[in-house]
Amino acid sequence: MSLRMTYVYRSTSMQALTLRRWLSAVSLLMVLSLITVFLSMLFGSDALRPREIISAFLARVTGNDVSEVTRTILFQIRLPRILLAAIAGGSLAAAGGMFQAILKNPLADAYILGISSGAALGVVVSLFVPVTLGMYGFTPASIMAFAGALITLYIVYRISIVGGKVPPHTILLSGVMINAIIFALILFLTSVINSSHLYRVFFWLLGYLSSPSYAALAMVALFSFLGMAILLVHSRSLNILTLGDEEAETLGINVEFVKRRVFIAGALLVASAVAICGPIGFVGIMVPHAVRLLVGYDYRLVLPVSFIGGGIFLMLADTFARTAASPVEIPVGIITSLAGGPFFLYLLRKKRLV
Amino acid sequence: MRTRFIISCLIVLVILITLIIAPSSLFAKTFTDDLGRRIELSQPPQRIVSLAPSITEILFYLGLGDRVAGVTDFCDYPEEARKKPSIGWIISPNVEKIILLKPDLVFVTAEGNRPDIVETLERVHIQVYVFNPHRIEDIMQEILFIGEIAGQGERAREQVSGLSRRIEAVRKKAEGSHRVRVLYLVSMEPMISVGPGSFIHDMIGISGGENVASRAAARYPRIEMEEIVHRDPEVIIAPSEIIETVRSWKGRWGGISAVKNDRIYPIDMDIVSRPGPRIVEGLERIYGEIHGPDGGN
Repeated sequence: MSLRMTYVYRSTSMQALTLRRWLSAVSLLMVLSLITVFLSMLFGSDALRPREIISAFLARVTGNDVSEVTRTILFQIRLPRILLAAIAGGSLAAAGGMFQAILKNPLADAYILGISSGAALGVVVSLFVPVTLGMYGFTPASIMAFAGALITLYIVYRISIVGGKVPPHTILLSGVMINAIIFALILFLTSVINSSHLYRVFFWLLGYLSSPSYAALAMVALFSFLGMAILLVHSRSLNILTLGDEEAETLGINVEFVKRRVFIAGALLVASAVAICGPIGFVGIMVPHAVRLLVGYDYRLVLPVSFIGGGIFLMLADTFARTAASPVEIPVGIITSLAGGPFFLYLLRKKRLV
Repeated sequence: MRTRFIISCLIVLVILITLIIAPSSLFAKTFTDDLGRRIELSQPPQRIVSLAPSITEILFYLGLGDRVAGVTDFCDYPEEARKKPSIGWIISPNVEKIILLKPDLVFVTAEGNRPDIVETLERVHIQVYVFNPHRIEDIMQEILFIGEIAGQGERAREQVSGLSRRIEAVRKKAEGSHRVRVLYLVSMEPMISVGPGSFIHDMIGISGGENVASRAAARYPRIEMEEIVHRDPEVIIAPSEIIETVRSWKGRWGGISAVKNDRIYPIDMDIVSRPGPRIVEGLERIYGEIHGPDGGN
């Protein structure tokens, strides 16, 4: 099953994407990802040494005795958090890559269509709601954030329909405007609630990873994999869409249908990540660009590689965030932004933007 | 007959042993915290982690300092608290560190701490008690509770009645004298004051003052210069960190009484904003600043 697709895009040309190439790229990254998971498990509060951790892992296999505390920390606190980083980072990166393709804008990130502001509004509204409404290990804040994100994307989509179509520039601008409106609303709401809530909302906006329950992790994983599945199914159409909406239409792609499906996928991916972790910045912009530099512009490869690569990136960033100033935990959003800025400037200088 | 004697001796022995070990198992109690959550303890907590500076102050105030296993980076009072192992920031504590300290009880505040931290600690079976004080009486209750839970109920009651007497003393002294108009500034740019629902607002009321921002809807409202000039405060109180900025504004204050009579006073933020035992000190300070050195005009 070998497909031949040749493009001439600026001065770069695409290699033929064979199944073999796809498998080797994805498996290489999966291996890197697993190594990163293991390495990340080694780091944390300074009292655990790598040797102890390795024996804790082995203990699960050999049944050796390992201290209760070590086991709790490793498998109830560290591992779920690392896995959350992998899934959330991956979701944001893949969604970011997709939005860049659909909106044909290299500055697009996962939040560009108002998803992060909708989630933030959900969090603020949840502060006015009694504390006891959580379920499946989700706090009321994350449920409201999820709902807010989906509702906002829906609104942005609906108001951007022009003559049955959704032009990329229109939806981009709608997203930016809705973002602005919602943030104004949030600022207003926070000015009437007391200041400690304000600090909590501000901190949430930085984006941070906190150790989830396995139930919550499973839910996020479910939404992510659902979203990724939809994206992968339409990745070939995405390739053609990058030529332009009208060009793609003439080539037989049902553009609006694909866009709707792919937006839903993006919504699932981003809303689930933002609901749990807040709007972690730069993963959605940076990772897809870096991936495109490495593997080219075929979205059948870019999307899965971005997912795994985004996961690796966020795992590493979070490991740094929780160990650099131990016991202080720096919000991971700060680390990703600090890494993102210089990287972006580097990209600009090399003029390798998609 | 002999066997009967031996059996009754054994029974007495068993009863004696039970009576000796009973007191600790009699403690097995369920508590309900300020959020309605149930906390079960089989004995008074020996390793306590505090996730708020106010709670740390209460613990040391009740003489429970040696039972404090961990505090936050911001727990700076009393001096001994700074020497305790730190678990990070209030807003993002290091859960692994908390677990490593093997606490049997973690104290948390509803306002300052994150709810997901409470959930994570519950998940790994660590008992968490959440406080949510809004008024000064709540703080007194908090001190009593902590004393009760830690088995220091008697001492807590004594100390709290001492604190309550001091609060009453201030209230009595302030009765009858003219209500002084007070502006408390939390920050200068932007200008933020205190409203109903905040401890400082309560303290101004108890010490015979009238908070010029009392019409605000929020606890920490932004306040406009117009409103300030209209209400003409006689006294301005602000944290020591911003007092210089307040004084340097001079003419910009529009000739209000506080500036004309140079009644601008600094105060240590910690003693008025931390819901702990020092709040009474804060109250007495505010009384002193409102009514001047002659103690009431």
